[in-house]
Amino acid sequence: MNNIYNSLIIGLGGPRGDDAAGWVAVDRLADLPERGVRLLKTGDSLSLAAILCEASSPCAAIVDAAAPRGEPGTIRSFDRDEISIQRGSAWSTHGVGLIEAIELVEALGYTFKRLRLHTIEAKTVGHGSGLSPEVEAAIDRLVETIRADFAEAQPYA
Amino acid sequence: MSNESKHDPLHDSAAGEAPDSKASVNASTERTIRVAAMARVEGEGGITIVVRDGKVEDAQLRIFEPPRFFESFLRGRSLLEVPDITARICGICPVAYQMSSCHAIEKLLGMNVPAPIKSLRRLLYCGEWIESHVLHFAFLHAPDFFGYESAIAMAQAKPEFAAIVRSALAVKKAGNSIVETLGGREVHPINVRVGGFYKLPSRADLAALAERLERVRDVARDLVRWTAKLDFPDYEYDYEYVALSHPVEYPMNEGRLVSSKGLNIDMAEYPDHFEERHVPHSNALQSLKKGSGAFFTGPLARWNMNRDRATVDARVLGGELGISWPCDNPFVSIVARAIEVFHAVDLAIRLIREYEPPERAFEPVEFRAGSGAWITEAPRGILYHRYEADDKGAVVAATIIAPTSQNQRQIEEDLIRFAPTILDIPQAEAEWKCEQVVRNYDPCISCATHFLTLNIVNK
Repeated sequence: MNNIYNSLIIGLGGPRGDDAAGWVAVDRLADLPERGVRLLKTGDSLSLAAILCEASSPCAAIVDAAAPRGEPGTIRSFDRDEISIQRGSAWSTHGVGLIEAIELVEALGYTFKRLRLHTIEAKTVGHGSGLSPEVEAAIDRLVETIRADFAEAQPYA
Repeated sequence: MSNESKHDPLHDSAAGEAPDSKASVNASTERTIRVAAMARVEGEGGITIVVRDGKVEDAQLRIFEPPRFFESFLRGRSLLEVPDITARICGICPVAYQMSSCHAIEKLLGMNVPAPIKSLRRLLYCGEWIESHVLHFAFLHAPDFFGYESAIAMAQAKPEFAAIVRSALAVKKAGNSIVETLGGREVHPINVRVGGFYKLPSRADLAALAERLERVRDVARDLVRWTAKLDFPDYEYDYEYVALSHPVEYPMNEGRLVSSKGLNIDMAEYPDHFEERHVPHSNALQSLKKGSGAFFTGPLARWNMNRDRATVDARVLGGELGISWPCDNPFVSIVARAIEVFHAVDLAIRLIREYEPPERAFEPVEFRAGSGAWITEAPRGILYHRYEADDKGAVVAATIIAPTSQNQRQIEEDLIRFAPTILDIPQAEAEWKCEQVVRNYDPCISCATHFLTLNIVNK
């Protein structure tokens, strides 16, 4: 990564189970604000959109748990141009998803120099309070990756 | 809720089938307008309207989202767990479930909570009204009025619409901030308990919240004015509106249950005046007012009957919109929803300003056997809870009737009355119009399907 996210890392999800991956990752990056990075957590995609609009940061990183697909703990990272909404998908109050929220922000005229999405594949999204061992380990790996990005990167002016 | 399933003779089609059918037209006598799965509503449902010989024969709001049996698995649980369990019925209106359950349980236990706790509860409810209403009117409902498939498409179409969406995001975020500050987090709050709160907000937290609300107050007012200029279909009906009514407050947590046609009862008398029925095409029970049938609950019902108790500025705003209140056009619900957002922002600021902390975060609980029922005003309308418990505080029976269940029949009757106006337009447009009729009510299907009476007959 050639540049720093410049101030915004958002953990998306909830407090329970592997859905907490994004929140826990943000917690483990707690020292980054010393470098001028804002850390935020939310469980609501429209709040994510509001945060992105309010912050007007040219760069943002989002960390979220991905649905189980048989490879728990797998980290997948994407730049903005690698992700797109599935056309024809219907909005509902529960169905305003991450990608729709990003598209909404862009539709409002906000542009990103860099928007990076990191996902950690969940083992399960059922009941329970703790992280699975696979996701727990993956968070540590992802946090180191993000930290290394910031160590090498130069902040935007 | 009765254990006896009553089938509705008006609806004799197959039970809530999967959403795989397509629109069909029988050239000679019959046309079916069928929306397989509705967009921009919460949960999984569809619409079927059957037209025969140019006349609408039947309309069904098909709810095929599976039942969730909340009332059954509350049995045996502690009364103290109920607010947190029932809050899980809905991710959009968890506060409503917390409010109705806490009040019903406090009634059961003979508890009174002090005024500051009541104020904090109203403040928390303001947050939920704001976030739920803004989500619906700006992101889910408004695109209907311009023919856009989503708020994204609407925002891309014109700078004016982008500004509206941006404003709505800011107001919604302020609502989320209330829920986060008082509830512990913005989604599925965890700080509400029987008798009060687990933890009281600090003055600094409330001051920051008030500042945020002040910043969006005028924005919320402008959103109301924008909704009032929408092009509403010419459609009115002499509805029976049902809502709580309080002598001095715009209703949220307290009051008597009243209707626009003369009902005026204590909320505990609800089962004497309302009943629920099972219809084959829906996994949610339908509520009817005994002796008269369908009724209308939600923001338009509340505003039509209680607008004189809204905040002063909300009243003034409501009076300058060029809409004659009470208004019997259900499409104007979007305006009522927007006004309630402004009212909630305004009220929240006032509640924070007037707040004096209580002596303690919650009142102590002493269990006793008994029953208690309560109604509060969820964003979508009245939410009835009733509990019976033993002397150890274990739930013996629970009944929960959500606003969407209560509006279901009214939605179907609206479709029957509205459909004749769209018989000559193309199928896709007709389906869209029908969805818009349903979205007038902001139905929350997940709420409505949290229960289903399982009736096993052994022969």
